[in-house]
Amino acid sequence: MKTVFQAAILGAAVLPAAPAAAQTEISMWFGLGGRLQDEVLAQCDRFNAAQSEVRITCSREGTYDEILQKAIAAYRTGNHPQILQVVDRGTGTMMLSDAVVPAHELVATYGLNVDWNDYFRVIGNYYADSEGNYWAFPFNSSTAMVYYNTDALAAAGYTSFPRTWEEFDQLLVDLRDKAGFSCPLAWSIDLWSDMEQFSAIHNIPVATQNNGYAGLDAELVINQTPFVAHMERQLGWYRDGLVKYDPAFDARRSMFVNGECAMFFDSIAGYTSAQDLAAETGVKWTVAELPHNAGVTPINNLVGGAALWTMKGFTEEEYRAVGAFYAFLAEPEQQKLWSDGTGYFPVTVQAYEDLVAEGYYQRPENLNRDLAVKSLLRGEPTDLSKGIRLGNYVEIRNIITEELQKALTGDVTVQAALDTAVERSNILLRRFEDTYAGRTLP
Amino acid sequence: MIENTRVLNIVTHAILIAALLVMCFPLYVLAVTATLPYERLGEVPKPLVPDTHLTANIREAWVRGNFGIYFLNSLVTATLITLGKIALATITAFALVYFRFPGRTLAFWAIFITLMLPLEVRIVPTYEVVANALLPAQQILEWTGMTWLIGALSGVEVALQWNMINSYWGLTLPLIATATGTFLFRQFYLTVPDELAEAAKLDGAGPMRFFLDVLLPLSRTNIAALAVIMFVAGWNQYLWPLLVTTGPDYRTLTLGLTFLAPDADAVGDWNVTLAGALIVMLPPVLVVVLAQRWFVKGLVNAEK
Amino acid sequence: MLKRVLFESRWLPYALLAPQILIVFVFFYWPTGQALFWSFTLEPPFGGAATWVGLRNFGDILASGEYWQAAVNTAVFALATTVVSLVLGLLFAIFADRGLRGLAIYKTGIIWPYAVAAPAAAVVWQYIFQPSVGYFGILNLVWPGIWNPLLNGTHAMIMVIAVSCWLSVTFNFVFFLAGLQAIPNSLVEAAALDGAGPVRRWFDLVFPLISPTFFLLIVLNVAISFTEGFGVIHVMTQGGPGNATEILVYKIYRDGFVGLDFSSSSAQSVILMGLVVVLTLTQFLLIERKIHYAGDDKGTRR
Repeated sequence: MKTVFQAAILGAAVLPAAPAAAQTEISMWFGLGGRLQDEVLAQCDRFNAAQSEVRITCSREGTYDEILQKAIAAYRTGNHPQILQVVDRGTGTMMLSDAVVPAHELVATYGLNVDWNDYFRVIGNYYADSEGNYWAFPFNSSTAMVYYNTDALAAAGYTSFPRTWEEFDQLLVDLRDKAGFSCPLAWSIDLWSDMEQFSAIHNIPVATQNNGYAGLDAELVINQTPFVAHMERQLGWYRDGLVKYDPAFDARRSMFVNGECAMFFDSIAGYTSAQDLAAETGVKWTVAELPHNAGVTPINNLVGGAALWTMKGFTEEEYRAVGAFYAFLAEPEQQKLWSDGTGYFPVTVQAYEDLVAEGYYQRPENLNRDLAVKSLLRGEPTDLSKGIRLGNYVEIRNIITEELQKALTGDVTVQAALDTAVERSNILLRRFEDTYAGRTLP
Repeated sequence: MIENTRVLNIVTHAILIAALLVMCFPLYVLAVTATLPYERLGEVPKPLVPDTHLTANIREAWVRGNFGIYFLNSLVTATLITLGKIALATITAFALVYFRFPGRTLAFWAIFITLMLPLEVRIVPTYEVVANALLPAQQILEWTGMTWLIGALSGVEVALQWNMINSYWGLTLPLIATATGTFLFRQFYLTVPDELAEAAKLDGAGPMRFFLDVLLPLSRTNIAALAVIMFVAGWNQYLWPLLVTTGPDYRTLTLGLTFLAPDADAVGDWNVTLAGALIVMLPPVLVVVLAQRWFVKGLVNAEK
Repeated sequence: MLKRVLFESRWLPYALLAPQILIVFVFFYWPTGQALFWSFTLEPPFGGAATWVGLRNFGDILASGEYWQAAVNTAVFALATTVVSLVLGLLFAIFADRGLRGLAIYKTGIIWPYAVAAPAAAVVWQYIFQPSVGYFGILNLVWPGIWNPLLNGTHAMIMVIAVSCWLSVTFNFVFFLAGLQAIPNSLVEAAALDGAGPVRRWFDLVFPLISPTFFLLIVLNVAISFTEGFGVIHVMTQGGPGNATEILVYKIYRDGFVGLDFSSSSAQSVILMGLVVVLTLTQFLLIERKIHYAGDDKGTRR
């Protein structure tokens, strides 16, 4: 016999509107803010309106980092939701957490109607185990692009956007000298495009063990790859006064949309926002694929964004409800609405092909948006272009950025900065490995 | 005061005006930005003259940010924290100053040390306690073998449970211990003339009588001052409410504001966000400005 | 510093202390105890079997250059914030205490920022200090490169110290003003009649009288620089550029909350707590015996 003494003064939690008798209640925590928050909520509303068995409550509970931490605290005490949105870099932690029901198991156990083959493989790779089984449902997915001012490019004498970094160097000079831009590029150290995308496109490793996919004993190798030269190139732009440095993303974008800077790097998910902002200033712009080094055959960009993870600790009925929600999200119609509203691309092949067939990407307001998907599908993915799966990775990215900032001020060379970053990061990787002693990545 | 020379007066005004400008400039920037229409946000250099969109921006922030319910939550939370802290600070300081007993110094330090370690640095373990505030009691029962004893004697398994997540309890109780307040009242009581207590004792008044009839009335201004400090602190909480609430029901206004702030991938309508910031700042600023008379007097023993 | 007149009761003081002690125990010491345990293990974020590692976490921390950098940053930040905001607060208060016309306006104008939350203040100041599109960008138009907190660690440190001072100067101003106003005019006038000039008067008479306020403020300011500094740094620099503005409290938060390394974060808070205890004890031992409370005036004791 078990008696629970409930404190009488308990502040009773107010539950959402009384559920209809047969409805299954589930909830999802997500981290997208601002206008993207409204899009997620709209999607949840559409799901609730489309059927009557399940009622989902979606709520934004903070930024990506905040909701992960909050979910951890909640999970440890049994207050967690069924569905959690986790940013790409948290994948390793989630896989080892022992707190999730892998997506493929969920589907198999409950015989859910999900067609894994319809998801873009290159997106799924980020969230799949070594056998290729999905652990989470791809949700908001994007990749890095170059945003450029088309008038500026024309004034510099270009008819098409450069394909290589060597040509890009020249473009910066031409934008300054021929087009008269004092700021050819609004720039910052952004490891997502500078390190992760660059390494994938050039098929070079960020860490051993296939960037951590093959084992927890991975070590960073970024101080031994062409990434060093790539950062030296970029720091060179800064020293030559060809770029304006600002670590605040908002500031870089506003320098671009107000016409002060001719280019900046951003996720494709920023397409609609840039559109809205530039509409006010009249700046004409579009996007291009990230360049690659001369003499290299580029392969796929990396996907960025977040996925939906299913947490442990619920009933079969609730898991079926969760499955119904996932299946709904994968419907082509939903993918199209989502992609159109947010700027992310569709995660299923069917939805993308439908959009192409409709001529969606031919419309002036969507011009070149499909380049993002094309850059994902470029070439055949290798073991080095699937993603990064390292422990403590959020912190490791902070460390690398910190050390590169020191190189930017001229205190140390890029090589020395990256040597230090690798040394510091490897300590964290060993701490992570020891925290999960005896465990292996699935 | 005494020297009233012209030069000194001019210097005084100059320094105070400079102080005024530095202290108020950010508010001005904030207010001006909150009056701008969206199109003018990108302007460089930033505008210094107000535009006309203030009410529109405020309305937008209020509605989009769901501020109605959050406002109420903030008010309740800040008020509860204030009342709780005042009650705890006055009685704790009274015990520490007017009694000599074993463990007195230890108790003072036990409370005082909490002053310098913000909640932010032990947030996960604190959350675990709040998810079950009776966890320590349960653990102690288990360590001492009490659960086993009770189980063996009565067949009842003791499982204490008090989940304060997503409630006003969870928002306030972990924050109402107050080292600052206790310290403040300790300092104040130390300056209260001993004769008062002596007289009370001669009159045959007990300690609680003295506390209620003499000490508390004397501390009126201090209480008012502490109330101002604590209301402001309670209102401005961010990280704790973020963690301890789920869904909009118990969210506070500061949280609402950050949820309104644009994300990296979204449109940066800072004019609306800053209009929201004006709303969020208004109540504590009003409290401070309106109560400044007591605020100033009450913080230090002010008997001319 | 002790009362001469005391009440006697075996149980009452304990009853009066009980509520606060209970709350502090449940919501401070219990979690801190948990953190203490974590500091000797490697704790997986989602729970599960933690590995006992003895002193390894402490060893890793003390061997890391960033930790010592953060310790130095903390000292610089706390010291600078405390000194600058105390001096400015006192300066403003001395002049405000002259009671000239417009005092109410000055007072209100200086006091109100107290009500502003640290993160909110940080957002606005960031907007102002931004070196290219912000108001401070003007400096760079005139002297290119003179102001760049985004890349220059010293500038960034100055920036976060300035904002923290802006937040805490109000508090100090209020305390000092109240302290100064509490000094009877008759005393000051008498001193003036004796031929003491303003400076002399200040050091011989005013300063000793406001010394309890001073002590209180030093203690509170150090504490505030720890806690408010967090909000400012979190919004403005996230500890950067490099590690230039990373202070211990922020590092604990970042390693634990963002980096999910609970064990390292816990070990750091254990060290910090030890530091805080030592620091506070020192403050009390060094300073409190030197100051004097009105209640002691009779000189019958000590």
